[in-house]
Amino acid sequence: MTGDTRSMTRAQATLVATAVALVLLTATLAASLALADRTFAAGTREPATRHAAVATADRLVAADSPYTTAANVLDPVSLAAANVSQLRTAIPPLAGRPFEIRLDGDRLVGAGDPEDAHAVERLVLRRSATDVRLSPRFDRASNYSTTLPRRTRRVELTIRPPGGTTVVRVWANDRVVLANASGLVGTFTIGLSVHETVTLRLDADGPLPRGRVQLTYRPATTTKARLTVVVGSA
Amino acid sequence: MADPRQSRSPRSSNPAGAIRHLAVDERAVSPAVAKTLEAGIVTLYVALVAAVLLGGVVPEYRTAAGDAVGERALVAAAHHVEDAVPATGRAVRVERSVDLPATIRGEPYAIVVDRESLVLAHPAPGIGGRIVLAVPPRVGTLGGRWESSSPSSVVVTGNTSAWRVRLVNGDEP
Repeated sequence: MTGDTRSMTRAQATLVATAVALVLLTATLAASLALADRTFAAGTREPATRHAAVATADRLVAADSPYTTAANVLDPVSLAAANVSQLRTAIPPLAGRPFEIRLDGDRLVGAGDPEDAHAVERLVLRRSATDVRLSPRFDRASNYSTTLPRRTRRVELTIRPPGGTTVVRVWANDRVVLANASGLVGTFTIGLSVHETVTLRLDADGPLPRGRVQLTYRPATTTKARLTVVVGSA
Repeated sequence: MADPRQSRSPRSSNPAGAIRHLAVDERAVSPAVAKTLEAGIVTLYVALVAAVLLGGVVPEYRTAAGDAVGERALVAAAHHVEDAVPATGRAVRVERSVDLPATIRGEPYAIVVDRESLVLAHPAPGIGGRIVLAVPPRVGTLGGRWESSSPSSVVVTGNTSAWRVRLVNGDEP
């Protein structure tokens, strides 16, 4: 009888133990779900922002980009002068997002504050930005021509012929780049190819001493630089 | 002399007095019944939890995971399209095959071009997405549609300054 009483009490106690166990189980389940939820939310990384950053970097350094002279050769001056709305039109993923473009850490162009949301770095070649000025002499001895020592994309030509001399035409290699039957006077910008060395030749009816013709160009030398594109979320 | 043991009631083992006799419905349950009750309660609990999880929590998580997978698949598709267009050249014909996951959340889906973006079209309401493409300026038209269930490819054609980029399924020309 005594044994019966004790096991009767134990039977009720095991029911309580079961209830407690189930409560603990529910609490564990709820905690696991909350943890999984938090981990899941933290893990999603906005792949669209990453895509915008990578696509922008690709477009900026591509061979057909207006800011490069060749694939991966960046012209920092044209990029620094870039208009934000032009960039957003040319690279649609940037629309509605803050972004910043830096070269060697210096900010070149940007809009808003991307807060380093997603940064992409590219190693590029940067065109040198120093101008070179030449004032050669054009006469019969030099065949009225001069060769530019470095390749360049464009050259600025200032012609002030002495009285009595008229410059009718200017050739770049075998291409006529400037022509005026009544004489060329003033400053002109000539576009050249970076893939060939250029000899400029004048069609003039008299010698042009030193100083009458001034050439200004930016030589196409390159140095390594780091381009950073930072794009934030929309 | 009467036997002192015989005068004692058979139930009383308490020397101080007689124990109160319990009525039948005041008794505690026996262990066998207790174990059966426990088994029943636990089974009910498991069934309840399973119903709650499978009915509400699990489908939501599947949709959320499917959404993340869909977004990544869309970004990968956008990369494929952008990479397929060469940066230089005049006349071009590029055909590049693209690997897409066959199903998301167990169902096939489609990727469609909408003006300058790729859109993910999935039957489940919580899964979808849109990504803007960055293609070179010489790309004139962008069109086509990919079904996830068939092999997909990007076709870039053109021989003037305006190129045409198409999303092509299977063996279409």
